[in-house]
Amino acid sequence: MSEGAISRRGLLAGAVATGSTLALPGVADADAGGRRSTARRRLRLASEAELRLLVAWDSAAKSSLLAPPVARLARTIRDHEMEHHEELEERAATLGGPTGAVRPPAEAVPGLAAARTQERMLAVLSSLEAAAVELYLAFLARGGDAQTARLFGQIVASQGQHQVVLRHLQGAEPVPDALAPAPGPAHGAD
Amino acid sequence: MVPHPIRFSRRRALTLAAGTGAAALLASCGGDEEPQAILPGTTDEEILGAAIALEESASVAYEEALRILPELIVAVLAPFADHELAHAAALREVLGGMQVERRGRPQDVTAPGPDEPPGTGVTGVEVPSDPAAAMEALDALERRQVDAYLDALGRLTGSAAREVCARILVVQAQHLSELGVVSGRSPVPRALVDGSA
Repeated sequence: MSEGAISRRGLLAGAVATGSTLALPGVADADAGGRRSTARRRLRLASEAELRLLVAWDSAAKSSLLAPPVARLARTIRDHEMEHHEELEERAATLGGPTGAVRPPAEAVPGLAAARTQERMLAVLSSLEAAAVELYLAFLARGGDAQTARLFGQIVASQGQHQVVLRHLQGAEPVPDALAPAPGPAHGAD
Repeated sequence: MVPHPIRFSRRRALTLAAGTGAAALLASCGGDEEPQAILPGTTDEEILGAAIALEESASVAYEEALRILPELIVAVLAPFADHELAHAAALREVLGGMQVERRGRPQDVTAPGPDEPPGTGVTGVEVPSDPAAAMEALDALERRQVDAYLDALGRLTGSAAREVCARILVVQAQHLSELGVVSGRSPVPRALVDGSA
């Protein structure tokens, strides 16, 4: 084997290696961009869910339907939902900007306008909390960056605690199951 | 503290249990250890194995505590011991699925074996000395579990492993909430839940 042949192979190998080295950052950037885009999409959906909950708990707290102690609890939980929303937006900001989630009018929150009793209002809130838990569980199952996963975990744990309050108020078993319900497949789609 | 409407009669039972003792049921709870160390391991199998040990320890802790707690509190907390075992079973099921996928390497799994006392080296279970200490220890245990799963969710790579841990995390937070109710504290003390008191 001539030195020239070795040299050419060496050059070729070097070129391939260089090309790979140059190409990898591009691939990595695309992957990172894709992950960021997915995270931002999830953050927007989560932020929208929090705004629905915020409107629902706020409406409940301000209505005359709830007994005063229950209304106090509703205000506490409303403040939690606001904090969740703010934390989600803060996380989104680090990934490129606000989510664009908009606070809906009360009329747009399913079942809220039709609630005429405390019992019915609690049922509406329970349904919204359950939907939020399912959403976060779906996102967590799908993976993502560690910081966003931790935030989703902290929030879904909080929503789970809100469910305990609602179940007490509804006379139900506060922690009925060993595992939170598995998320449906629809929430998992990105 | 602002009174809340679900501080029901169970709380009175806790009053009976109130004392000044604070002996630790779980020696490693609330220490200086970083949360990242609660479920050690770099692979999903190792992390789930540690989670199984933690859950089995938690079940033992509940069983120990239930022996000395007032009857009314036992009625509330008894299902939680079963929940912890159900968590361990669910984690084992996911772990089993991984073993099937990786036939030939089941020996890599770091789950407690039949001769290994559950919880050894993970929680350091000790027998509670009095009801108040037992309640404090259960609270610390649940906080530790919440921290463990929050940390694990950022490290696990498999979707089945992440899903089961997330579903367990929710229930551990609910246990914490219910312990708060029984102890006369707010069931929803903070918007972002973690293991801090």
